[in-house]
Amino acid sequence: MSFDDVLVGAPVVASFLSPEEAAAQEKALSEIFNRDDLTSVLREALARGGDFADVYVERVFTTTISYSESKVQSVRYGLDSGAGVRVLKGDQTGYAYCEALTKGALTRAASTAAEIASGPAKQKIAKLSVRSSVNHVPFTVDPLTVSEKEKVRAVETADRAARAVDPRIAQVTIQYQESMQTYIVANSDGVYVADKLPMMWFTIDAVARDGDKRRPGYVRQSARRGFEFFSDNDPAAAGAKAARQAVVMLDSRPAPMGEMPVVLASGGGVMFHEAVGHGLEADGIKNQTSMFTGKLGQRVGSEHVTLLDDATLPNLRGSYNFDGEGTLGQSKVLIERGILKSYMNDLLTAKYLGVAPSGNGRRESYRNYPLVRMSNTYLATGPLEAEEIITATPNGIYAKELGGGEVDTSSGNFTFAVREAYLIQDGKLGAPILGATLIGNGPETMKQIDMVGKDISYWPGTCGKGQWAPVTSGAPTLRIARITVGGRE
Amino acid sequence: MARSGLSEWLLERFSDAGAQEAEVFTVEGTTLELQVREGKLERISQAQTGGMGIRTIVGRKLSFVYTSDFSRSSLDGVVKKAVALAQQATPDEFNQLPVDKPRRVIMDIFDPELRSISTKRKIEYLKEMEAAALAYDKAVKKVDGTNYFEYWGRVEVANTHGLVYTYNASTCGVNVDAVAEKDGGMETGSAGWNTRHFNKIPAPAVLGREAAGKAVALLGAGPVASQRVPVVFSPDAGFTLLASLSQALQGDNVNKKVSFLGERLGEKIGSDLVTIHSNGRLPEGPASIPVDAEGVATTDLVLFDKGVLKNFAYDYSSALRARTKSTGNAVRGDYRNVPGIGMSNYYLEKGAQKPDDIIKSTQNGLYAMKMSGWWMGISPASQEFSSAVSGRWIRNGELAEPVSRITIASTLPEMLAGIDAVADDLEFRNPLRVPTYRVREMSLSGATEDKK
Repeated sequence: MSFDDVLVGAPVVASFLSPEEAAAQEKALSEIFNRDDLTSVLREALARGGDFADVYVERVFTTTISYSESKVQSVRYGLDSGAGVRVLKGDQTGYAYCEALTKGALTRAASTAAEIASGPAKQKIAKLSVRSSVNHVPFTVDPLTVSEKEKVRAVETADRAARAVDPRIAQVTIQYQESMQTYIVANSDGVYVADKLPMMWFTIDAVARDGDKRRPGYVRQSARRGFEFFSDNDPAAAGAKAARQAVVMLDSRPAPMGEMPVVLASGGGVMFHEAVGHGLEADGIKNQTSMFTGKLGQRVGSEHVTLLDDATLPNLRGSYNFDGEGTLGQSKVLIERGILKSYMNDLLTAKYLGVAPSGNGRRESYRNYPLVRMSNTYLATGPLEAEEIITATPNGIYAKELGGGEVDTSSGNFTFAVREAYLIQDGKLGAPILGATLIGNGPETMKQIDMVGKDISYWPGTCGKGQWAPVTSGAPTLRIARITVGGRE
Repeated sequence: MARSGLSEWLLERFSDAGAQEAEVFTVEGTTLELQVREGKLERISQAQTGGMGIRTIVGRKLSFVYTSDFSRSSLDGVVKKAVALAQQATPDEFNQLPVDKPRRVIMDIFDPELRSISTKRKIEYLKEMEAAALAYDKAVKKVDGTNYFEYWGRVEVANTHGLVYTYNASTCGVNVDAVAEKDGGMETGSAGWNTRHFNKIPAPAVLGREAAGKAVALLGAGPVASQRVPVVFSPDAGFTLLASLSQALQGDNVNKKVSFLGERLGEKIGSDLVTIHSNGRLPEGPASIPVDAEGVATTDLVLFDKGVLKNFAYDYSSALRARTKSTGNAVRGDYRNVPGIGMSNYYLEKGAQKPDDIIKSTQNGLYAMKMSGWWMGISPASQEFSSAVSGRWIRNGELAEPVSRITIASTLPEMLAGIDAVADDLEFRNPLRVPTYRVREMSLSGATEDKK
């Protein structure tokens, strides 16, 4: 399971519709399959004796602009649509999907999924009634109504700002991607959910070059917002930040090796996503492959560790109103002052554990059945100023910007990359260091957290667990008293 | 698969709409995924999928669109949109599509029997694999799922220069994750195999036992002290070196001057034991195909020959810019992806030694079995290598206690130069594969005090 650090965005999509046509198509989703149609699909799905069925119909419009060498390399635009039917029989799941949005194709998918069971139909289909939610992902400017020229302008602004930072900036590569997802979930218990989720994604890769020395810099911005995203995600600032990171790292030296204190700057929440988050996804608890199995109520971190997963934070990359099974997105306390309080659940694991589903059953697309996934996972703030934490650390490392991470949920061993880091010497920031990796064991590292700041920020990522899911991880500035730094000096 | 003629029809429409060049990449096929847990089928997922990815060039400006709707009325709309979108891009003289028509070659990459092998038999395979893992050792208390997947279908590339190439291909594979437990600690061991033919997958017990053995071998692992040591990479761990190198070997990154290898063509970078291929024509290679994602004949490309950097991997456009020929390395994930440059069967050539002899000739060092986080810093500009690792300590030429929660670090050129032993155990169970090899010295970072 990993929290990606490469350019894996939403699927690259393309289409053939004008924005007006696209908007018309979106409206039509519930018209292609009305509730009677979905009810008859669910009936087909349970025709062979399944216990439960759901159907997920999805349409995603995506525009992608690839830009490098100060040129628009390509423009891609499009529509990805399809529908999946899931049938549960005891612990077994049957799943089938189709790409054509026709009743015939969807009914065939339902009868394929139904084959997980064999026998006469047992369950009735409850009358579908709409489940509603407060909108946690409102947007004002539908990007489909914004001209490509304006999108290219944002990209060009970032490129110019990056190149203006330093003559040693040798290359800048930018990816702009917007998507607009509409979907319907309906299940045999009568749940019916229809929703619309925007997503913006903007990344800048800069390379600084001095002689034969090259150093990368990288900035990623992403949120569930419309084109108004750029009003407080200034593309020029993002371009300059990526370029400065690359330039700073030209003067870096190899990271030290061994155990030492590490101060994580605000935004280093990926550590919690990896170190404990994955282990608290209840599929690993159900299958008893997570090291956190049976540890509810036990101490799994220091008193400074209060960890939440919250799909309802407004407009973050990991936010949503409903999960991929139609359960309301929620805010959950996972760990409170070091004590393990709850796991994250989908419908299957919630039933197994005898708890309410927590709205963490997510799917990458109509091609995938739901899995237990995180949304926005973050460490609650503490009382300290960031400067106090650095000053209180005589020697160690200040990790300003983290890259991705990875965990083995059975052993709890995790690793994550540090993109931009500095030595701390006598409580002050020193030279930049290159190639640092931090490794540890989830619960052991959670016990080593001894200082927490008040300055939380969030980092957008794409989490891989056989399927990709947009997530964020958040944390304030914090100190880990002792952790292994994998450098080469 | 009765779509013959559709590409030609579509390409004519593109010419009529004012496109100078256009390319239609069509895939159609079926997928099946199975997951078995605790002796029974836990999940089955299946679908018929298909679609077209279309590149359009107007005035040397490029657009990409895709569709899964093959109706002619919908495709007429596709043509208009693709031509309009291209207008938004910047002209580039190297935005061109391949002209040369590839020769037809017969390759053994399609298993016509695959779909007629019953799902029941595939489920039985997984059950047997799981049972073999559980039977391997008392410490193996569970298996975290066994998986089977297959894809079976047809690929066609056609462009307005008259290039048309169609082939059938199948892929199937299995994977097992065994979990061993001791004293409250858990370790996972994995084994898997990808191939074109169901009957080329090894017996289920072989992979089940392999996964279980790897999990058991790591039980009770802990850190060792920081030090510089030789590292023997098992094939499961050693592929990370090639994976980390691949972006720097891509011709587009060389063209953009972002590859740290860009100016080093012809230089001796690795030891004499380092010969690395991207071979699209490898018999038994799971990634072997007759033509690449834009219809250029695949090749056996030697990237490093006895340590000398010989070639970069190019697609058609990047090769034009570099004034060389495409190496047949255009790849795409599926029809939804615009083609890019990637490796085919990508491997380090095997050596003459036995893996055991390499361990025997190592006095004190690390045997790396499982790497994690190695991919995080990958960039064509960066030659740093750093990864968390689990494995066994090598003491006096023998595998000793398990170790974990340590990292190893070096630079990619130093690792290539430091390879001083390569074994003969290369097997193509994945497109990216290496034999066991040893790097003379790497920085190992672990516990501060010596726990030995």
